[in-house]
Amino acid sequence: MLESFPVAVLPFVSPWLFAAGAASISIPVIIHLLNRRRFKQKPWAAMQFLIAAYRRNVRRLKLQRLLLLLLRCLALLLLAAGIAQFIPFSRGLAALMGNGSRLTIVVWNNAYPMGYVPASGESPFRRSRRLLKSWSEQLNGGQWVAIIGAAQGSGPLLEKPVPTSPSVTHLIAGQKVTQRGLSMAPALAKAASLASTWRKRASSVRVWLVSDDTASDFGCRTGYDPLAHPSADVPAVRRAVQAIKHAGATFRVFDVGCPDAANMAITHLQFSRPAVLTGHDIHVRLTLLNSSRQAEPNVSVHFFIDGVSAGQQTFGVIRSDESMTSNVLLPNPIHMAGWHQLTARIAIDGLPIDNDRSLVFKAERAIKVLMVDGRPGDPSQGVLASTAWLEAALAPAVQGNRFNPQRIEMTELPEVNLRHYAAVVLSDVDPPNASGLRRLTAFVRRGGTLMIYPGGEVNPSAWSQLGGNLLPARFGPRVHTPPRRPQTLDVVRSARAIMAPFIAAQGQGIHTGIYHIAIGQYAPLFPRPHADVLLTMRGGIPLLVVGNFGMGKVAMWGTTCDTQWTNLPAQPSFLPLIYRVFDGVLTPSGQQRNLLVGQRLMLRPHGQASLPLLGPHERQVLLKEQLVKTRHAPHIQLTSPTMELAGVYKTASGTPIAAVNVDAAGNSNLAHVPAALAASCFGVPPDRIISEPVQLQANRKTATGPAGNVGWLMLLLGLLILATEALSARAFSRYRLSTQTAGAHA
Amino acid sequence: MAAGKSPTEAVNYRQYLDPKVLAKIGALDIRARLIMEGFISGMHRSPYKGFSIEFAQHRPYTSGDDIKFIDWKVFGRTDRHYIKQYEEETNLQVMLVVDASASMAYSGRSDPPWRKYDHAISIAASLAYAALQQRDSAGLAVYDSRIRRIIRPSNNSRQWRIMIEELSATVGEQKTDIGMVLDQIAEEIKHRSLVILISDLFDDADRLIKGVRHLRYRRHDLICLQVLDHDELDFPFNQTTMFKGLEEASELVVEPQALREAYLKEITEHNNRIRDACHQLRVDCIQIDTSVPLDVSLPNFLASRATRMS
Repeated sequence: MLESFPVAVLPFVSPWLFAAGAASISIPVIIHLLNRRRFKQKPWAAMQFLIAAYRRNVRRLKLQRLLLLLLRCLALLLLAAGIAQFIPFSRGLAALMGNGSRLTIVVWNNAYPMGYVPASGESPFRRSRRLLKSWSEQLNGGQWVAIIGAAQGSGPLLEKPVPTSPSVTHLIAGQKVTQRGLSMAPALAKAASLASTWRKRASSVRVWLVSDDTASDFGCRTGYDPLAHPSADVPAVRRAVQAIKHAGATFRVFDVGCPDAANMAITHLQFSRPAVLTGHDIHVRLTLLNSSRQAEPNVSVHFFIDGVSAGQQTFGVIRSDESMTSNVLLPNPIHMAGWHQLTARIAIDGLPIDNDRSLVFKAERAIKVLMVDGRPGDPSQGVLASTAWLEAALAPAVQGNRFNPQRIEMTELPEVNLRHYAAVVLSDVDPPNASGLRRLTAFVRRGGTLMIYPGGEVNPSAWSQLGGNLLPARFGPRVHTPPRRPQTLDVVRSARAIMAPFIAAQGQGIHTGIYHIAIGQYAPLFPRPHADVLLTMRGGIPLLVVGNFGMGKVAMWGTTCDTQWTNLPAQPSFLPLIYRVFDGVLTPSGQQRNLLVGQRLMLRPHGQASLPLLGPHERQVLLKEQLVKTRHAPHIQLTSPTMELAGVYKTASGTPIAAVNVDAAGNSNLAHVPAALAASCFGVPPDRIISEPVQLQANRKTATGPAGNVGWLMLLLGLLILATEALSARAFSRYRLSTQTAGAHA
Repeated sequence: MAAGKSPTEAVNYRQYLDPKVLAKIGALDIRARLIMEGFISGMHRSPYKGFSIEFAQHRPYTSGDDIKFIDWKVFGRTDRHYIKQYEEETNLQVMLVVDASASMAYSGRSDPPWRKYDHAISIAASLAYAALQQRDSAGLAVYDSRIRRIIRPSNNSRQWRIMIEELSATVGEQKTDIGMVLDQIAEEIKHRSLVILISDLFDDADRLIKGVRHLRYRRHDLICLQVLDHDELDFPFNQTTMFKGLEEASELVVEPQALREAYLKEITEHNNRIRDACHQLRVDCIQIDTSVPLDVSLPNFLASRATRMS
């Protein structure tokens, strides 16, 4: 930061210089005070005339003394203001006192796509840096410059406008491309705000956008036409440009991009199932983007677990400007529970940073589910517990179960450590007391899953009396449907993601039973806003509602998990449906540890006050304890600084702790937007888009002093006052300051 | 400068009479504006005709006239009796009144110090010497708040030395009171005299003018020689200074240039008022700057006065 002092507070080019100069106004005051003590003595005969003269002029002398003191202070203040180069508050003042200043706000795209290296060898960022440096050097020290980095969260590089100087050139020359994504609309909005603030101070303001004009600049994830994608950020960009115009600034785009850029990127990598289990296959979902003018056949993706090859997948033809998503199965690669890293990698191209992508995950032996049963049954009497069907579904009597369910009664719940479980199922139980509710709330907030089933033993409405926002819905009074016309599952209107396989199976002639689900009783659910209704009964009555709470989820069923109210558990689709529901509501493994560049890593402290991590390029990152204030309760977390480099961060012992990736989905589409189309996207005439600029314009005619002539005028005025005062002191003694102390007559 | 020395010390009488000064004064006549009454013939015209050696006019003889004044030559030619009248020249009685108050001790910035009093007694000595040289009588009064010493006018050959000794011995330390002193002088001098007041006139103007009026009422001729240091006329100080009164127990710390104009206005008003009053009373009031040499200021004054008398 060149000038950290708030220019808004002290409107000077060198506020500190002015502050030092302003302090010099104490000099006349000190001289004044010293003069009251230092004088020579003189015996005097004509005392009667001196005293008479003094008595007649004492008021005038005091007034003159005060005025002269103020005048001297003002002169010094003007000198300080002149030397520190005062910035006129208004354009009118600037015009009155000189031709004012011109402010250029450079919005510089420093996101990672600017680092794309084409065949010519010079990346758009290096090109833009060269042009900006050259432009800055050409200025004759008069113009004001502010530089706003357009990368997401990178913030302004020169927050407050400063006059061009070698320091500005040095700052530009020292800039490097970040690994963050682009956030153009906010950056332009920031420029508009700055232009609006400085509109009255500068004679003119202009905003220059220096960018590569790729489709992803406008939030377009595929293709080159942002206007054809309704999800693009074009309206936001246009609003920002309009705000710039409204602020009285001119807007110009310098397109330093590569029209023939070709980029292949891994934009998404995630596990298909929330938990990764030892001895089980890993299901991965991967998305590749082909951002080029030609189709790309046979793209090979290599997978590595902890640096060891875990498989390879070859994609077929990926068409130009399109992405392809595929599920990949990595057979049984994990044998030890604990933290691991998965990396997917494609061949290196001009933008290597999005050619690989990593995930950190924790491999478990099984997904532990705690089932709290309010109707435990009696095995000796052949009465099944309410969760018996669910337990059988989660843990069938075969090897390699993914789930490890454990059933307890409600009275045992306070003694169980919930941290050992991924999910807690409450079936036909009363609402917990305050203590139990706090534990469950904390469990869900930390990432656990809570699933609630009603039942005949309790009044479902009692759950509705629980306070807080833990539950995504409210139970209504139990409803009995006529035996001959039971309620049924509305397969079509239920969430397609869950029902799709069953519908597809039915279509293939496989009996899944989903159309034969009968619900004799149910507790109607009244979802809260933002809650998801995953399953619906006929008439749109919710059957399964899921809501997020903290890092976990809460699922509420409208019917029992056994056959007391419904025949769902007896249907063939019950087991896969339960699996799909659990896969949907369980928190993915390592969710907190897979970040994008620019995010912070936050971990629960485990006794240590800090945690050093080793990142890519031997970059060390230190996590420190930090008090995090949330709307629930403040708590201590180990927090890292913003992660600026993509890669896997490990402990000293080599345990992977976090994976940081670039936001490739929103930024790796390097399809170049033609100038005319870009002009439409910005909402400006085509001549405002300067394609392949050789140099950035610098209007030398208006590049005057930083504050126009105001600084010089102030300097001159201050000197004039001092000179006039000195001359008048010699010529006319009445303009001199007098000091008086009391004598016998005074 | 004999001022400040003890009376027992030898007095260099000549130090107050710069030969250049006296040479110029000797070449000029001191002429009183009024005809003084006197006993010895000299250059001063007597107001009494008939007993002088210089013929004035004839008038017809009347009963009671002394027959020794009958001009018998006229009687021989005309057979009528005429009395021959003469205009007699008298001696001048000069009374030098010298201010020896504390304010006269101001010495300004000259090196070696040259007090206003030094200047005053030099003038007094010069004038006394000149008067005695032409056989006029000269007297002296030295005063501050009162008359400290008075030497009655005489043309004795030792008179000048006596005056010089007195001037040298007197050191005033008190506040001046010119009005009262002039009143006393007016009462003390019986004959019409030329009174020469040598002072800085730093006193209440009303009382001073009242004293002058008293002197004029007694038909004395008066010349005021106001002796001022150049500092008092120009106030040339520029540093913050504490002025301590020589006659008054007062102190004033000022930045002098801020008060210069006001001070000069005050002192000029004072001087103008005295000068105007003197002019109305037909009194010469001359301002003498101590920085101007005596051989310049005194001859200039005497020349201008002689011109007026003629």
